[in-house]
Amino acid sequence: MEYPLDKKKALLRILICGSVDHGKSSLIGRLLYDSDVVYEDQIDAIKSETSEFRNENTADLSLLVDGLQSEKELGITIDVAYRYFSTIRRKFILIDTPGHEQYTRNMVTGASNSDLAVILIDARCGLQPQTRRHSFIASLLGIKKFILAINKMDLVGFDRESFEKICFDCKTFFNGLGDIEVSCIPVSALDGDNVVTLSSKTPWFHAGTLISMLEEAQIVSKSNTSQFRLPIQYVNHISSNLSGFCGTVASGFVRKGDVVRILPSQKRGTVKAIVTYEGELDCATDGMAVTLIFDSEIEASRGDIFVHEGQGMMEGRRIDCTLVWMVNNPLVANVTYDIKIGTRICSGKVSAFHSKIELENLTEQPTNELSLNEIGQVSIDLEDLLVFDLYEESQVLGGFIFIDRQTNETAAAGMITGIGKF
Amino acid sequence: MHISSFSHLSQLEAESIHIIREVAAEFENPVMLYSAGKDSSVMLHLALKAFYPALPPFPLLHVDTTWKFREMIKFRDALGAKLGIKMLVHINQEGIKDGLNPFSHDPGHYTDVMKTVGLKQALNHHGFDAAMGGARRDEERSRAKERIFSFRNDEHMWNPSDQRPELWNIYNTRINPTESIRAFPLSNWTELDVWEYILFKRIEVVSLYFARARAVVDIDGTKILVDDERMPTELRKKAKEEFVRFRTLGCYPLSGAVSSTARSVSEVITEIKGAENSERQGRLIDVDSIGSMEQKKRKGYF
Ligand SMILES: Nc1nc2c(ncn2[C@@H]2O[C@H](COP(=O)(O)OP(=O)(O)OP(=O)(O)O)[C@@H](O)[C@H]2O)c(=O)[nH]1
Ligand SMILES: [Mg+2]
Repeated sequence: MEYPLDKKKALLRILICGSVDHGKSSLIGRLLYDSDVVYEDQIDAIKSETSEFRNENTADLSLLVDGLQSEKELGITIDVAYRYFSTIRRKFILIDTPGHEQYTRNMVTGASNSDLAVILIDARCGLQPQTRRHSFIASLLGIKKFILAINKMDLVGFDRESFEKICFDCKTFFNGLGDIEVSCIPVSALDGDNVVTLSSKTPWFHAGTLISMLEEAQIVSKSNTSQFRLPIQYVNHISSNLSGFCGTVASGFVRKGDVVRILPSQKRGTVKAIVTYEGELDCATDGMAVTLIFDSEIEASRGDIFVHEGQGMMEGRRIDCTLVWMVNNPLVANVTYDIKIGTRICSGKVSAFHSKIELENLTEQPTNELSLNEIGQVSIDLEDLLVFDLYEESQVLGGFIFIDRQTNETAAAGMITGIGKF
Repeated sequence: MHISSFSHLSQLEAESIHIIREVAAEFENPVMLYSAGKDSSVMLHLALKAFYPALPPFPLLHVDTTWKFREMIKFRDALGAKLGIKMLVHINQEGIKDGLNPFSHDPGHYTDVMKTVGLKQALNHHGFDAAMGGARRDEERSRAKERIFSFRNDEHMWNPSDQRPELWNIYNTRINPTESIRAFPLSNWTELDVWEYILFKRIEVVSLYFARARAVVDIDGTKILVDDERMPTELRKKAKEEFVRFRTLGCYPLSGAVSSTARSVSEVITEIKGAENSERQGRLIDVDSIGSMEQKKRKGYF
């Protein structure tokens, strides 16, 4: 029997962000509740927690996502939470992020895997510094589509002018973030207006509900290039004289019979078969986890990259990049870190600080260090030659993390912006 | 920019295979936890896919509390033999010596000793540096907060307030010798995704997931299957035949059945879509107190 159900439903990952207490967790609770994916025993659990932690007799929907003991006690979100629901048209992953500035690194974790951002803005306060910070980080990580949910409209009497004023202020700010698409919607996460059901209190608003916007949003691929890239993740020793090269296609596609180059060695090989458990494939595309077998023995290992003949990648020993610093110890020049990019680990150190981004007004300031949650533009000197793509071309081969050699912590998220000059 | 045309199940599958391969590539001595439940069955299927035509380069580990449903144990043994993958079974002998029994001892204490302590003993004994588990973020609110690669200290403890940032699909697998990583390849799957995948790929699961007439005893509103003669006689006397199935499987004295007529995978899917209660509701050990899953995970539960 061929599988009839929902087979072609696509997956949309949505980042929910915005300033402290603007209603992110409540909105997610509302989306889940009104889409009927909250079970009765879960409602009972949050009802008893609402009375324990808040001394109220209702169900605080934000408790559906604020699941950690300390979050319930403090009434805030500390770390990212993932919630799932689907409609007939799509499967959604909702990524709730903390609004507090000290948890920005957790927000970055959420942003790195999202297709779209919903920015919550309290109608009484408008755009806050933290709203700007979140929006900037989301766009920095490559999110191109933003929905601004102007929340708590119930507290401003569903006033059209308040809504339009905030939208106007936002447009100016978001225009500065580059090539992104922005829409606005008035909602009340508490009462559910325009979340899943259309509100009668905003007759002046005609762009539908939040859920319809999410169902209709176009999902774009994580890579901007159509050139074939496959970072080798694992070499599978199938038998004494047969190896399979396993990995997830980062961009483009590969066909059986293609001649590919192995980077950085520049050696060549011809793809004899694309092997999967369910049979061989003629072609593997962007996002597929496959195994390639070659017509003769090739020398390649984890961290190497397959590309098509004539479609080289950038390479160098100095890269320019944007870094988000994520640990308490500040980043200073000339300290060596391990760097994980794609499936490769190398090491390097910051050789020059070009600027630090002042998130208040998005201006660049000179600096010689970065502290927790700061973002800067730096050059990194690598111990070995690195093959890479620019982050705007490929998140997989242009994004990397710093690993602290002493503490093993993930110290930074980096995005390559260019080849560094010596 | 182009539009992605993958279906959600293909995307989840590719993401999980990527995670499993990353564990195999980055750790010296990884293991895959296997419980014979539906999530384990899906995770194992994904592991078979990830390394085909070779077998997965790691063993499976079942932490056996000795109170699992009999059918699960049969299923486990048959599967291990059929696939030719090493199936390690660990039982916490101290708990056996103390005669721990879920009918007469506190379920929380019993679970802690037989599952959490048992798991830690097995991981330490074999020196595993990474353990893959089939837990999903949609199961419970503290799981919804956990990273895909979850760092555990030298006592296997999870610290929810100090998790490593996890960017894109780059996983930081760096640990010191006595520390370990728990990796969750099914993090982004829901109960429904798992069942749809089982249907789509025709994955075999134990028949306890499908409804038929079974002898169950109502214990404080939870229907417990009479799985063997260890159930106290005074309880067994109250057994009634009912049409039931299980949404989640663990130790039989602690896993509640649900009334159901769903006899096939597609009927199960239809039923889940209309369900009013969550999957975990039938699990006695998860509903005993607010935040109990978080407490258990802090102590080293998977
Ligand atoms: N009146 C009204 N109150 C709201 C609305 N949405 C949220 N709230 C209240 O605002 C407060 C904060 O809501 P949360 O959802 O916890 O805010 P958050 O943005 O998730 O906060 P952090 O995660 O800590 O940054 C709670 O008391 C909510 O009940 C709304 O639409 N109307
Ligand atoms: Mg929140």
